[in-house]
Amino acid sequence: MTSQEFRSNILSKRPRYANSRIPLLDALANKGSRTSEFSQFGPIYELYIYAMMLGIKRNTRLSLPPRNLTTDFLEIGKWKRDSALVDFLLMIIFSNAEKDLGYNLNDLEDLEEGELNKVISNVLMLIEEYANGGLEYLEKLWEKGELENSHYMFIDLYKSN
Amino acid sequence: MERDKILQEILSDPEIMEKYNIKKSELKTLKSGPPYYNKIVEVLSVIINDNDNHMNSSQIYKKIKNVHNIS
Amino acid sequence: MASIINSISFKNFFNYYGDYEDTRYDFEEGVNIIVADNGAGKSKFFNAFLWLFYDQILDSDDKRKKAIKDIAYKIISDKAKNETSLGSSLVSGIRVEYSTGRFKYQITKSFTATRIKENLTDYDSWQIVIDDLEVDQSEIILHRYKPVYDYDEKRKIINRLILPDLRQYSFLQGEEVDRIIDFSKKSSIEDAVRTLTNISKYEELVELIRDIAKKSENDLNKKTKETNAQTDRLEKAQQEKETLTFMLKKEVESLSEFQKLYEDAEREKNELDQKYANAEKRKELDEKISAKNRVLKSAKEEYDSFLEGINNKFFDGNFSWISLGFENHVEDFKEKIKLFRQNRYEKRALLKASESPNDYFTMLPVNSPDAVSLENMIDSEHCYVCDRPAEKGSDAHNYLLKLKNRPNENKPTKEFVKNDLEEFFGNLQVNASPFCNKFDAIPQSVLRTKEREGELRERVDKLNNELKSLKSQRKDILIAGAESDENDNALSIINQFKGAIKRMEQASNKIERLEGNIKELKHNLSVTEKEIENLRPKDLPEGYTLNYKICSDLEEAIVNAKERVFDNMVNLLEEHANRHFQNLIRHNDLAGGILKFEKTPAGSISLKYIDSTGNEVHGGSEGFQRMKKFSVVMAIISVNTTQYNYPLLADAPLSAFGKAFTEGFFEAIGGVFPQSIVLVKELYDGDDEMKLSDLGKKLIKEDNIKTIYLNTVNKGVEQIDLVTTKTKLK
Repeated sequence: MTSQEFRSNILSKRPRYANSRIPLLDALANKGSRTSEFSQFGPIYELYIYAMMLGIKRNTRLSLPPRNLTTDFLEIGKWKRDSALVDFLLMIIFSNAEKDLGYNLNDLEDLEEGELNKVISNVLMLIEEYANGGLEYLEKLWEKGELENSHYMFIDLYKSN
Repeated sequence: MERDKILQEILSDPEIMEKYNIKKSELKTLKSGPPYYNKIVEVLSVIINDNDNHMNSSQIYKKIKNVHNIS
Repeated sequence: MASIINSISFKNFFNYYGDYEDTRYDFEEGVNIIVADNGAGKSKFFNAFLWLFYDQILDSDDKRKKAIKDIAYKIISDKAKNETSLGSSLVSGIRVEYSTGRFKYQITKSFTATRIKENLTDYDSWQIVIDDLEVDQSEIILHRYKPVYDYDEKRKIINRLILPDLRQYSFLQGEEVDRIIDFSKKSSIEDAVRTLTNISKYEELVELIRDIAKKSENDLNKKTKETNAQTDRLEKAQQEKETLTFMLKKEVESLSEFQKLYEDAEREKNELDQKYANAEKRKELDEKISAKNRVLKSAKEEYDSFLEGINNKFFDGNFSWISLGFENHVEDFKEKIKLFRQNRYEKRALLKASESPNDYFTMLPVNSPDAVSLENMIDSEHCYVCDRPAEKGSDAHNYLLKLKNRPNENKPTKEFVKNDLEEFFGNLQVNASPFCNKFDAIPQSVLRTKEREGELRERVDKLNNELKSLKSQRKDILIAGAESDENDNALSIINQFKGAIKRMEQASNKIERLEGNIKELKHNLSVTEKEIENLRPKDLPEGYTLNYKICSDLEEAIVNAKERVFDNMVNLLEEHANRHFQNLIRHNDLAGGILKFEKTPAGSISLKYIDSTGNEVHGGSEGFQRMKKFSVVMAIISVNTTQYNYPLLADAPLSAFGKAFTEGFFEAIGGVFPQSIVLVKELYDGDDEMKLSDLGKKLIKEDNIKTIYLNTVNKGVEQIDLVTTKTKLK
């Protein structure tokens, strides 16, 4: 597999989230409808990225429920197109490559195509599981009423973790 | 007395004072009862007093004619 | 000797439940204040005096005065009603004590109500019998009341408290000041002058002397006819006189018509004056408000979009908030990629070595030449490794060339890795750089965002406050008419106002012309008179001529005297009014203006306010209008000082005064009335511990304020339990 193939394979993936997270997603992500009392992100992927990074900071991975209880959304390649954001995210993911994927960077280059595709799936899973962990954390705070009711809720939360 | 005041006020008219020889110093002493300073004071006094007695103009005029000795 | 009210008490009178002793207010000379919010007995207190003087009560439901018997069922305290069973009776009443120099009087007015039906609040549930008027008198030094029996004497005593003629100036309920001094009505000031002077007497005398003068003239003419020397000229002159007299009469009639027109137009103008000023001001404020709204709207939009953008800063490479706390990860990655590259390099080297070991190893021993040395060897045609010559074209030289060019020509026959991910990871690192170089800057960025948000919010708040203040200013300006017709109303009022002024001008011009005509006619008349006198026979009995002369001179003199008395009083009122006005506005910003009473072409008095540059000031706030009127009312009283010794009873005349006016008011009335009892709500502050506003607290310390009562109502209870409690604060 070439670098371009590797990249486009990853970027074409559509991450999933648990359906039970939908109320939370509605509350915290939905620009345009001003119904939430909380600060909001715009599109879902923004909240998803945030949750994922939160999960990585807190080192909390949480497996998704069975596939039929999940929903997918925008493919990674379309997140903030033409920006450095996705590269940065992948960089962060791969910075933990050995721990999370079981291979170091050089190992990856020696894998068979099938195995490499499996790695790509694992990368996706990582993304999903860190995100899920982050979302769970947010949901707990939301239910306990501990979410700060300010425009700086997200950044303050980010700083404190 | 109010009647005196009214009398004095009316006669304080400069033209009257000049025409009927009323001196300024004497104005304040004018009374609406006898003795009368002069004829105009007498006529005016009759009018003022008898108005207070609720007499009408005909009755008062009769009195005034007497002041002038005309019938 | 002044009459001073010593006390007022109530029995089961509206919210004043209980006997006279329970609900008694004691008063002193000087200023007495009763502070009460609406519904806490304010206007009911005043009703007691209506009963006392007029046997009437103001029905708060329809704002009309009603006879006691008709409205008794509403007067009785609900609590007392509730306690009275079917068949039993109760008494409701008022009691006033007042003293003059020598005597003290106690006046009690009451009625007995018997409950004849079940329902408490119906008109016909109560049978009302008015009790006899009770008046008791005592010498002040004796302290013992003795009843007064004679009915006329009783009435006299009541009237002596405040003389009926003067009651309208001393007994001011709410906005009654407006009605007393209605500057749009000709009669307002004239009524006052009439009360204050004996001008009615002069008017009687004018009537009389006119008649008398005419009679004297008739007599003279009769006598003249009787004597011989009658000439045509005399007759002609007398005819001329008749004609002139007739024309004069016509002109005078015409004049009074136009005077009335002028008056009507002026009255309309005065009514509109207030509204006109308000309409203009309102328009001005409306424009300011919509401009402010626009600015506010765009400030809000800016603020809102700023807020929406805050969370975007996570993902925007210029701010890169998402990378906060990930320095270590980035460092790790850099290390990894370095290692990755190193390993790859080694791998590749290893592969090359394994592919063509001989080439690789023989040509490249431990101290193998680098590219530069290789070049040297090629150029110098000598191999320094083996130390043998390598001329161009020789095998050795060709081999050196091959070595130099080898990497490009000889690609490894197989890839050294299955998946070449160098580009992938390399690109990640390069592309992600905007997010990797901002770690230190992020906290600053967050701070600056918060600052900027604060700035924008402050701006919105400031604009909001400015808008609120403009709207509140606008609310203060009254304008008649439905809200929905505002703009039309404002325009039509402005037009009406202008129309009234135009009519006034037209009438005024006509009046001027007529007055000119009249003056000329009068002049001609007097010339004709002289002529007639000259033409009269010289042998007439002196009495007739003298009689005529005196009567006609007196006619003029009495008319002049009447005018003089009137004008003098107007001037005096003006002087006093200005004195009071200056006192009243002492705490205001209105500087340097004076009140002027001016005779209008219609012959009535109008009140103008002239500012320090001599220009007339129109309109002004409602409080200001009240102040002007109040100054005149007080002037009417103070001009009369020698005879005016009556208390002021004022029920909240300050509704439209501002705080500064209110302060001036209390100072000023102390100087005019020997005693005043003022009921106000403006000093009430429900949130304060003492229930007094700042001004109230200030006044309680003043020396000329002798008593202050606070009326409160126990709110939140059933109607039947509603009572007014009084607290004496001073």
